[in-house]
Amino acid sequence: MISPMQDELTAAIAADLGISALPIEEQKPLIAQFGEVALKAATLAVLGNLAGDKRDAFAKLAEAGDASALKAFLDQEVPGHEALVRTAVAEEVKRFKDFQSA
Amino acid sequence: MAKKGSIDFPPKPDKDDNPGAIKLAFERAEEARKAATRAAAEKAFGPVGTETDTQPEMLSGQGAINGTPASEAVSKDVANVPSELSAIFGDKIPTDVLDLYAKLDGDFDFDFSPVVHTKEEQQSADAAVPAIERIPFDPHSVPSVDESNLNASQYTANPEMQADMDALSARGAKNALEAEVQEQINRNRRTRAKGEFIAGETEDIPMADGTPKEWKQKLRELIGKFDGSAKERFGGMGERGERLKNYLDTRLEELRSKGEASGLEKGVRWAGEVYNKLGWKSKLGVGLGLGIGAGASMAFASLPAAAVFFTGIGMQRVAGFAGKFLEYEAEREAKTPGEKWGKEKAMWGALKYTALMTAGMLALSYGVKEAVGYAREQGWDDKAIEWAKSFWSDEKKTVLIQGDRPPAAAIIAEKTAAAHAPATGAPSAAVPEAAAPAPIEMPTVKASAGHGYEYMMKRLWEDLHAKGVELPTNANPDSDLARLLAADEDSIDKLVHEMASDSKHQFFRADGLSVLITPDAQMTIGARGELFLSDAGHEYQFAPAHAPATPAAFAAPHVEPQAPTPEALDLYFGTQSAAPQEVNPLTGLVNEQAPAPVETHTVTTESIISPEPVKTVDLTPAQDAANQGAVETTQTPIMESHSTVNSFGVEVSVTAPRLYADSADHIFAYGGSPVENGKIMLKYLIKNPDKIIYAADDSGKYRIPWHLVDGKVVPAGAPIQTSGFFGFFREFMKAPGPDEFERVVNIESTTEASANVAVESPAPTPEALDAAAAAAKRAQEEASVAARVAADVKAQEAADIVSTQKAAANAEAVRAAAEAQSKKIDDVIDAAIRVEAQRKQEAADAAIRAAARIRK
Repeated sequence: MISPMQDELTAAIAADLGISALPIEEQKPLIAQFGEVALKAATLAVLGNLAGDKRDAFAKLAEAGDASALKAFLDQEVPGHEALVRTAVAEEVKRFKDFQSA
Repeated sequence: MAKKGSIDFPPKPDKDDNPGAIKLAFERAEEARKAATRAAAEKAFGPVGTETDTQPEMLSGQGAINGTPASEAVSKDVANVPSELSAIFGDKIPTDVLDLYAKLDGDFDFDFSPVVHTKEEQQSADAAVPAIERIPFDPHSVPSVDESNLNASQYTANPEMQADMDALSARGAKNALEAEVQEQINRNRRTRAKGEFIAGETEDIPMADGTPKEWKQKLRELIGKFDGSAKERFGGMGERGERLKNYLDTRLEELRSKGEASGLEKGVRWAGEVYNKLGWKSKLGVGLGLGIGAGASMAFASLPAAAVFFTGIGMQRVAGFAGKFLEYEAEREAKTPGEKWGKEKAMWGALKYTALMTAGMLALSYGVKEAVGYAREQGWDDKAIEWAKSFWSDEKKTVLIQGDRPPAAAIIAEKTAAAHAPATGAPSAAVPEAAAPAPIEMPTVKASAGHGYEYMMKRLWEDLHAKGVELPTNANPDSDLARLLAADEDSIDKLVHEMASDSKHQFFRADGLSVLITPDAQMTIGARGELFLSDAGHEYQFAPAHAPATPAAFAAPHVEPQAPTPEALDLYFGTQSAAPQEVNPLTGLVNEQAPAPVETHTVTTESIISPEPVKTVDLTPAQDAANQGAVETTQTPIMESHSTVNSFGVEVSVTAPRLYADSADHIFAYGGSPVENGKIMLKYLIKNPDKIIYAADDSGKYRIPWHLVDGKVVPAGAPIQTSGFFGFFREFMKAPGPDEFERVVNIESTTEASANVAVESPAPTPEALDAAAAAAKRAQEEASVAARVAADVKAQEAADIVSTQKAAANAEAVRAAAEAQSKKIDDVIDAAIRVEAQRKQEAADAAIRAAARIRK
């Protein structure tokens, strides 16, 4: 189950990023690298709206992977954090695709 | 047999009887003759361009004949003077010319009567031509030709000689070219032998099957294929991939700079560090959690959703969810084949994993409400949503963990209700067909203080038998239920221990940690006969990696604590000589070997408050056995006391907590349990608040710095890491060990206020003890995280090493293949060059022969 799902996910993300035409061996590192870009962009977007003394708490919760606790935390500290992340990631996707078409 | 004197056609015309071809042959023969004449002249008169002006004039035409110097023109009475010579020279023919002519004339005798040959005649004529010594072509032996000399003005007046020189020049140029090509081939070979690739171009001179440049281009293309293959295996990219990679590199740098400018560089760095520790699967999950791959709508993007993959459990959950969907689909198809489920299948085909996973992520991260809302947005129909809700239902508290199911009781109740309810058409895939045919109330065992996972399993086993539960006929014979029902009194203890620690359940883990079971936990049997454990916040069939765990080191609080006696305190604080038999204050048991005393102090009157009962229950097999021993008096755990003398002559006790120091005055806490360590550290740090003590984490594996904050002993940072090798191969330092201790730290003597700590120093307060316990717990949690991170890093490093080794092996194989192929190509090129050169050599030879005949 895992491998087909990975393939499906890889294909879906590659399609979203406009790199489906590349060989799969090239898609993977690009997807991985783009994930880092997206994560950093999203983190910047959220942290930028988070009070300084709350950032460590955010990092701990995020790193622990406790989604419910992190969501509760962000709901309280950064209202609209989902929209921030969505916008930041969408912007990165757009940038990436614009670069390809340039 | 060709007639002697017939014309040989040097280069074969296209068609033997083609007048145009014949004309061409004559032209070529004439050219060859001119070339031969030119060569003869050069041979006769030395290097061209160094001769006197008179010499060329001798051969420059009719008008010069009589003007030839007497010394050069030898009057010879030559019989049978060839008419062509006499036509040129008259009676005075230069001796050298005669000699040259004699050589040229040696073997040939022909007339100028054009004869049309049949093909057979031509072939016979070719065969009849006396063989010319054929010297193997050697491009390196071809002398260079100075074209400027060949175009010297003194020759231009003689068209024949000029033509001859032109032909010679062309031939020399060709040979020079071939030599250069050969040299280029050799250079390429040398370059490849050094592991490099071909650089540079050669002239684009036509050859038999293409120009050298074309050959080289083909070669490069072929090598490029191998090169490309090698790049793929090396992780390299094509041009577009490299371009995109460069963009992403640049973008990452921009984000870093942006974070730095806004004071958020720590957050950006953290994101990168966390992300780069993840494996490929989890990186995919992070991308999915951020909405990448969900389509242009970006309907779902959330840091919390991405964060679930930081622990590595997210992908497992999503995989489980996907597996359930496929299973559901297969079950429905098997039960109701046809088009009834066509819509759902079409939905599946359209959505594939993307939307499903996203919905799954929402369910995992937020809850069923958001997930169902998303599912509706994505166009899922009611049936699919209902199916999904059966897994996400808050009422059933079902968490998507691989292979789990709602509790059997709930399933059975649901099935019973469904049997009595009007058909709604909603999918009921969540109701396993393997469920018992009639409602059976599965027993439920609640957690109780001092009792662990194995204890609960055993009680469950008892209840199953007490209720007369039988294994359903279609149940999995390897299920937990089947195993429990098959066990008897003799085997149940062994079975529960096996089940607690097997890879299927993982409640007791290989790293020594065990899952924390809260007082509200209860255990029952799931729909498919699996053990099902739940509490207010979790439902487990097996223990996920992130499940709260408690280490074996926290075993002490299992029994109802008793106020330790002063003797016991002295024993554990190292303040009193060990009696022949000492009592463990926590277990009330006699230590077989009491720790050797370090110092003797007056028994203090400190008021020691016993720690509050710990609300959590340790479920490690050992502890569970201890628990059972405490409750059922079937086992009697004995705390072994042990001490050694290290290389510094310091006696180090494993069981008695003490402070030690090394040569650099680092302070270490060692011996006893973490709680006991906490006590002794607190005692020391209260008097030395600026100090740091290094001690083991609660797993006993890693080294953690501790200091005093607000009267509490808390970790002063992350587990200590080694410096590694230039930053590489860093690893967490092991817990302090006996061999590091050069001396024992006398807690009492460290105080400057008073030598009598019992009087002067503040006694540990209940809050301080709680703080120490809490600090120890936090340290344990952090150590657990650190251990997981370390394990991930090590696993990733190991994978990288394997990957690198494989890549290197593949690269070597690819390089060898490319080299072999390149050599083949070289050979082909070499052969082609030689064949072509040989062919032209032969053509030139034939032309020369033809020219000689013509001349003759």
